[in-house]
Amino acid sequence: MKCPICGREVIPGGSLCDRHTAAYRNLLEGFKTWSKAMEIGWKDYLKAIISNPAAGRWVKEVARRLVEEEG
Amino acid sequence: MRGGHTLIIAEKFDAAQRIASALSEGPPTKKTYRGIPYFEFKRNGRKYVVAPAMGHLYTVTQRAGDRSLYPVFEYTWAPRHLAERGAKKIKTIISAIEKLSRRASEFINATDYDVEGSLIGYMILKHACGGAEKKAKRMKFSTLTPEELNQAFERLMPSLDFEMAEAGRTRHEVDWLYGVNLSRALILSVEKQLKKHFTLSIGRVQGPTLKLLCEREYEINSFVPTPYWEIQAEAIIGGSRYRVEFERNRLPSLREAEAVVSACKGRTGTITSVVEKTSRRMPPEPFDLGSLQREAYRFFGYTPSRTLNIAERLYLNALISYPRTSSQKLPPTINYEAILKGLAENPSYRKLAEKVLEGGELKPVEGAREDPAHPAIYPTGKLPEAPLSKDDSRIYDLVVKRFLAAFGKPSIRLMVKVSMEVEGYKFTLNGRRIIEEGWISLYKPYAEFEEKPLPPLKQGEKVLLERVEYVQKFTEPPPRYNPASLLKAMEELELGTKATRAEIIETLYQRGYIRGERITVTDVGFTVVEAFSKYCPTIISVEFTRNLERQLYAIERGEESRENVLSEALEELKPVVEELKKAEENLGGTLSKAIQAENLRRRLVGSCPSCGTGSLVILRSRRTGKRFIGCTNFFTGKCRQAYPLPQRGRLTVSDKPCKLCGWPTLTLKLKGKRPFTFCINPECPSRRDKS
Ligand SMILES: [Zn+2]
Ligand SMILES: [Zn+2]
Ligand SMILES: [Zn+2]
Repeated sequence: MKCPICGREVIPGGSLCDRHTAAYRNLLEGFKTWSKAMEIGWKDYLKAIISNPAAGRWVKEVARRLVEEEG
Repeated sequence: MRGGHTLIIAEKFDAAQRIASALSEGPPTKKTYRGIPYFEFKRNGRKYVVAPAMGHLYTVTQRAGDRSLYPVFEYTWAPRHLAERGAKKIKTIISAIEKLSRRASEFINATDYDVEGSLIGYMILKHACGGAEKKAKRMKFSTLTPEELNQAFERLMPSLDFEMAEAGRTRHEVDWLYGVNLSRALILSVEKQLKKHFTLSIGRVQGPTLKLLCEREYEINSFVPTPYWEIQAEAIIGGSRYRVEFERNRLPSLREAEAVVSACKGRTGTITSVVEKTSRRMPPEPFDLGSLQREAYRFFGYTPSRTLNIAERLYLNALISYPRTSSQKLPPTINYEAILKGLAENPSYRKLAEKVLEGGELKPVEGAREDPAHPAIYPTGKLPEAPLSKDDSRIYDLVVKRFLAAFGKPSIRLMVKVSMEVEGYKFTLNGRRIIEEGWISLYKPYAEFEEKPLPPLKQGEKVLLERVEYVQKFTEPPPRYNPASLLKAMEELELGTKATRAEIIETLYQRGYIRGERITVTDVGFTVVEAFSKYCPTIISVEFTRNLERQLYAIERGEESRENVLSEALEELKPVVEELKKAEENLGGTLSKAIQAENLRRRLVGSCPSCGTGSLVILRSRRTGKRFIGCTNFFTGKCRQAYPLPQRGRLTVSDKPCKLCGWPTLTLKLKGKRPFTFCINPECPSRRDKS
């Protein structure tokens, strides 16, 4: 199976490649920290990440995809 | 035989000339043999001939068979012109040395005193001088000044430094075995897929270095910033306004930040303490090659390899000592006073040098690092024979001032910390003042001290926190490496040697594995590292290369044998090459994709300003073979937009748009010239000035 974001092989048992899986994991971890720091919902969090210049390229790619998927 | 002359082997032409002039009783005679210059002179009635090499004249090469296949473990040392293309001159140099050695009865190796230099001389004496390595003597020096060359000549070492040569030989052999096998695996895997040759390489040091960069890239690309809040506050104390710092520089939540602001804004508190402390800062340690390369990057933006080239030139002009050193020591034997007096002859350094000379006992600071072969880099005190180029004079100035600073007194600063409390929260105000400049006055403009004076403040004084605000900030990913910080990381991890690190970084750029000054790893670079992590992780592990590096140092010290190190290295390599062979198709597939994507990216100039839907790319005309910029809609006939391009030199798309018109820009690098960036817009004002 190919990663829907970049077309590389997905990790065994996963739905994304190793790079985007790592980015997704960090994204989930990050949300915990953000929620403790301020009041913010998942969707607004993703948008904030997409426009944040310090956020990594792969993280933004995952965030963009999540925003699209979740409408 | 006793009646013959003495043949002295020098590393390069400039060194040969300086050696001959220094040792000769009158001016030496310059002669040539088939266009190769050499020098003759007399000393104490004996005839001497100084012949220059051109760096390595011999190299490791495959013993027999097809030079594109792998695995290959059979090698031999051969003259470079037989192993490499474009090394024709080597043939003439070797035949010149052969001829000059025939009548020689004594031999002296006077190449640079380090692993590479020792190996260069050893191979020449062994192969071009009929086995003279056994009876040759060794000249050891760190500068090319007449005084030191004469001293070195008077105190010749009775034999060659065989351990150093042996360590060098082993390094070349191991690196050849790894480089050739692994690189051919990469090249062949791609060639089979794309039916085209791409220069790819990976080596024993290149691999772990690239991996280091990939790890950083990985961290940056998967980085999620988290918010924090900073308190910014201004206080009125005794009628003046000061910016004060909150006790915690990062607050993890908005709630906490709000609490501080609402508690403190507009409130009054008191100064709880005023603490003064003097601090002494010692001068920076003398330059080894790595620290010179870093400072040169910091102040002039020079890459490590550029700095090394410049330093090498200054050395050959007898202006500074041998730059390929890892020492931070300045032993008294270099004669501080003579150097300082020499520098005082130079109007630019007269005042500074005299200040040091008048300062009493001459005792430089030293760093911890040592090098058995050479001291730290220092100026010889000789005046330049001709005006220096901008590059040369910058590096020279840096070396001179660093040397002077080493003799400077500590700089003494007064640090003041004013603590205050407002509504239970603590704030501080920090001031600093220089009491004695010390060495800083000798190292300007490379060291400055920024003062932040405070008026006398007393405990118990009232403080009004007039402005208190919070600012939201975000954590940052670890910084990208630049050539200088990468060099430092390589030093700390013991990857490569002082002589090779700069070149390895350069190769990573040339192979297209990395790009940019703030280094980004390309997909090709990533793919190479990922492939090796999958099939043979040891090869690119830092531990593996570092271990080998330590074994090589052990050979240098005579504690390890070449045979042992080679057989261990082969044992490690053989199974890896098998693995790669099996994985060839897979490896080739992913690599080819990455190469094609990278090639397209490199040719992509920007979006087409004419049709708005196509992209501008660098293309080659099928008819004339000339390159130009065209629109991707050209092939469908929808857009005819095209711009001419210079035909010579390496073109890269720059990531900065034109300052004047906003169009994309390209960077042109002609061989031996500085890169030059130009705007592709023919109507751009930047281009009108030119013609
Ligand atoms: Zn992916
Ligand atoms: Zn177009
Ligand atoms: Zn322009």
